[in-house]
Amino acid sequence: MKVVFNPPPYGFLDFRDHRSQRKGEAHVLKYAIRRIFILIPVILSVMFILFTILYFTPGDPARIALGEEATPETIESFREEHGLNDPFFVQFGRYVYNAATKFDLGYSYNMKSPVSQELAIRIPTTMKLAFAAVLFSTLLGLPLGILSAIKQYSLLDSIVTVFILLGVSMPTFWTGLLLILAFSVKLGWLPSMGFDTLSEMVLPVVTLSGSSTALFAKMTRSSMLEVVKSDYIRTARAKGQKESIVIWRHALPNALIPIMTIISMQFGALLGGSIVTEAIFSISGVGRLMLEAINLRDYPIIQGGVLFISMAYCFINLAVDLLYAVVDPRIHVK
Amino acid sequence: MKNNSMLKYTMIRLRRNYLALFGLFILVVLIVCAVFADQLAPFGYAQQDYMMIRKAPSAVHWLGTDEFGRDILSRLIYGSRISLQVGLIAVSISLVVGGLIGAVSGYFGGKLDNVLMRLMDIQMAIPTILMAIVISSVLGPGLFNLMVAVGITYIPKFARLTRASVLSLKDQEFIEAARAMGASHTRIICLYILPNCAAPLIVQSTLSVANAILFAATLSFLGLGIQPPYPEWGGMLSAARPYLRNSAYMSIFPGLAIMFTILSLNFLGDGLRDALDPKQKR
Amino acid sequence: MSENKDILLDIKDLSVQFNTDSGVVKAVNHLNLRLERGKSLGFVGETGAGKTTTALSILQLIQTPPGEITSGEILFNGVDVRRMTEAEKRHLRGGDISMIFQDPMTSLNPIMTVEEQIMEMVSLHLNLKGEAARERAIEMLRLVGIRPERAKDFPHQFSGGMRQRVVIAIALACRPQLIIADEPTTALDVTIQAQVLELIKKLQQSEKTSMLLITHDLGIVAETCDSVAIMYGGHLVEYSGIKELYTHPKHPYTQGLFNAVPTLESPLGSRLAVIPGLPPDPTNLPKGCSFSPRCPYAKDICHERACGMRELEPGHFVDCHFPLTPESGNAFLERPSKEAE
Repeated sequence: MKVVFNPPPYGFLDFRDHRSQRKGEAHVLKYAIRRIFILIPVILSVMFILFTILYFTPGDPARIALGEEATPETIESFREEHGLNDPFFVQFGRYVYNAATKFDLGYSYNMKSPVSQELAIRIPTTMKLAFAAVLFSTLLGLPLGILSAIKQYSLLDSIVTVFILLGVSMPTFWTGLLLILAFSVKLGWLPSMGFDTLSEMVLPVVTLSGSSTALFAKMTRSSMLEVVKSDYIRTARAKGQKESIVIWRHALPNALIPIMTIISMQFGALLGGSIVTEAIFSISGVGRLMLEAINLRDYPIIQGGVLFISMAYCFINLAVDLLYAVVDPRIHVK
Repeated sequence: MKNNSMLKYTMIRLRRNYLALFGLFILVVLIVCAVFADQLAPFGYAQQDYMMIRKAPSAVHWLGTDEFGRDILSRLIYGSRISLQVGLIAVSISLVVGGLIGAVSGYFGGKLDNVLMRLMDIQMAIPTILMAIVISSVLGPGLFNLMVAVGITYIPKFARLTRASVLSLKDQEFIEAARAMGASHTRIICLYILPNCAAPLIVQSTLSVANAILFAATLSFLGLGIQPPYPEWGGMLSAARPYLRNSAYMSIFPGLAIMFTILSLNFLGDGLRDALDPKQKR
Repeated sequence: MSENKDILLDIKDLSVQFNTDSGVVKAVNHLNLRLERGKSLGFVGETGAGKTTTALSILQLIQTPPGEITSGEILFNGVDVRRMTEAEKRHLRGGDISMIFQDPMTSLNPIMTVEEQIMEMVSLHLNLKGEAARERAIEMLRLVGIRPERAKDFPHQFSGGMRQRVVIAIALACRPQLIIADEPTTALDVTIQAQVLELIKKLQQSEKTSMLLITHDLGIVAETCDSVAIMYGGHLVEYSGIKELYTHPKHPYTQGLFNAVPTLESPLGSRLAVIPGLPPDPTNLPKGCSFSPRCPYAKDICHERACGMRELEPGHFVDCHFPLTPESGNAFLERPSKEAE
């Protein structure tokens, strides 16, 4: 007897067959738009907090810009010119307006160029580094976690467990130094500076991914172990299904769902951790820019840099949340 | 009476976990080093000896000397004092402030909850290192400022944890019974709710001390935390960088110290988590 | 012997233990059980008596380690399940013997549609693929009372009772010879219980499947089973046909079980009868009859050694030195309840 379905109108996710039909991917789109709207106050608040913190930091931006020998008149005219005498909220409003409409995040007096420009030059490098690190960690960490969960108590499991413990306890900067010591200084195989050629990229990416790989392996392993104990896995076996299919098609997809959130959260940590990696390997990315800015008290750069990284982090989180909603049928997308 | 037996029960379960015991042992060693640094360290941490610059490990200087001729072993021992201080005080700040925020937020709910959690969300939008860097740069260098900076970054984590615990406890009947007895909100929070949240908070605190020490080392490595000549382990690694080629040992020992500290605290934290979790049957 | 053709499942001297950190748990001890083709057997006992372990042993689904089958044979159609190859066991599971598990909320894979879950079963044993498999799946859903439009829904979109129906649909999809239902209605509301039970009974009779129904509820057994086996401390203490058991229970434990069910005829104000004491610790089973510490009829010999199953009347087996007779009375009711711990 033929059964008839009435498919609802398809949306942008129509490559998923019956799942789209049942969940109504139009809902996911609406959810996405809603989340983006919520993001706006968050970004504004971050801007506000950064602006406020740096506004109330001791030190006159005008004096910093003009140097120690500047006369009070030049300082005052500088202040007038740049609106530094305006009330707090006017300055803040101006900052937000400029940022939103012209991507103008201010001007760095130390570097003598707009903040956005300095950031724009360095953003691709940092993004490449962070993405490469996430990719590497995922590609290495997840399989290690899965395999050590499947072959619990085996030699592989013991090795992976030790690796996890070390990876989580070793500071990133130390890993970097040790890798440079081993592969650059003693063996001379890889360079220890820069990020342009492939061989230059190897050590920084491996360094940055160290603790993430260990974290992913650990989380994947425990998620797998927990899922394998579930009742529905027992049901799958009771159906007479082959053990390999039970593990790979029943257990694994369920185990990986929570890992997605962990990966997205880790991206933020990696963006932050890139500061250390960039410092060690002399990579000119946003992180190193921030470090220099802090040493030079270049507040516009600090503000702009932190803002950019926070926004990137928020958007990545949002993207992963949406992916989550698509992948896990239990998520109610109203 | 109940607290006593729970403590005993936890101790028994903890004792069976060898990794946790190892962690505890290392921690005790560290504490001893920190407290008795003056007696244990063969040299002063700032004691420079220009005749012995960058000497490899030897009978006199077991772990070698640094670029100023200072004994690395002694500096590591004194460094434990700094690391432990930072870890404990930073986490105390986060625990108290975050715990209070979470407890109040979870208990009273409503608008207050919304506002507080929004604030936590906003703070969590900024990656922790950046947050710490911003706060550090505002407060300036120094040990105390470092502790405050690190402490502030962990507040959301503790707030969320406490809030989750409080939410799950709030609707239970023993709270209702307490209110029926006329207990005030403060009394309920302090005597009923917080003790029951203790378990996850203890575990998180232990793990956070590890993170805080790592964090402080990172900040010092970047030049943002503790200034020389204080022997902070991260700072020592930063100073060792230029001499990687010839005096590699300078880069190895402080890193080992950091690693063992964090490893031991992680072991201890995981062990506590297993021991305190009532659902775990071992 | 002609009798052999009718015996679908023959469990002989089955012992299962679990090796844990706190000791060796003897879950099942020298169990003997038989099930005839087309009949249904109620398997009754308290929680922890070893019923689920027995069921999982039949399907060879006991996790080893820490579990271990230390002795016995499990003959299904005359073939010892324990000696089967892995491939034969997989063929057995779902194809010849299906299991309905206790908790419908967690027995279904949350990220597969119900249709897919039935289709998987069908494609494993009936060699149907694609459209043919889907049609069979929808047919099974309709059989258990679920509309075809819901075939592509996920388990969380169904209520508990509906989910259990899905589980039943999966279990019956390949027309197994034996269904093992492990407390299929315990996790459900009472009203839904009746529906689901009705469904199981109807399907069992229409498909002529044999059934092993595991439960702690004597009422359910009375309505759905042909014979009953009472389990205590990991082994059988009584086995008989339904009518016989309910009219002439012979083992003290059985009597205690019946007492514990309050009826509308009990006099007002009377206390609930309990079996004093607690079930035995499986890591430390009592010497002699495992029920003896709690038995009001126990004599010295009971504490010394167990009796073993004896056939007192045709088809009625009891493991007791002093099986009850109509004259024995009811020592549970005469005992003051305050001796119960």
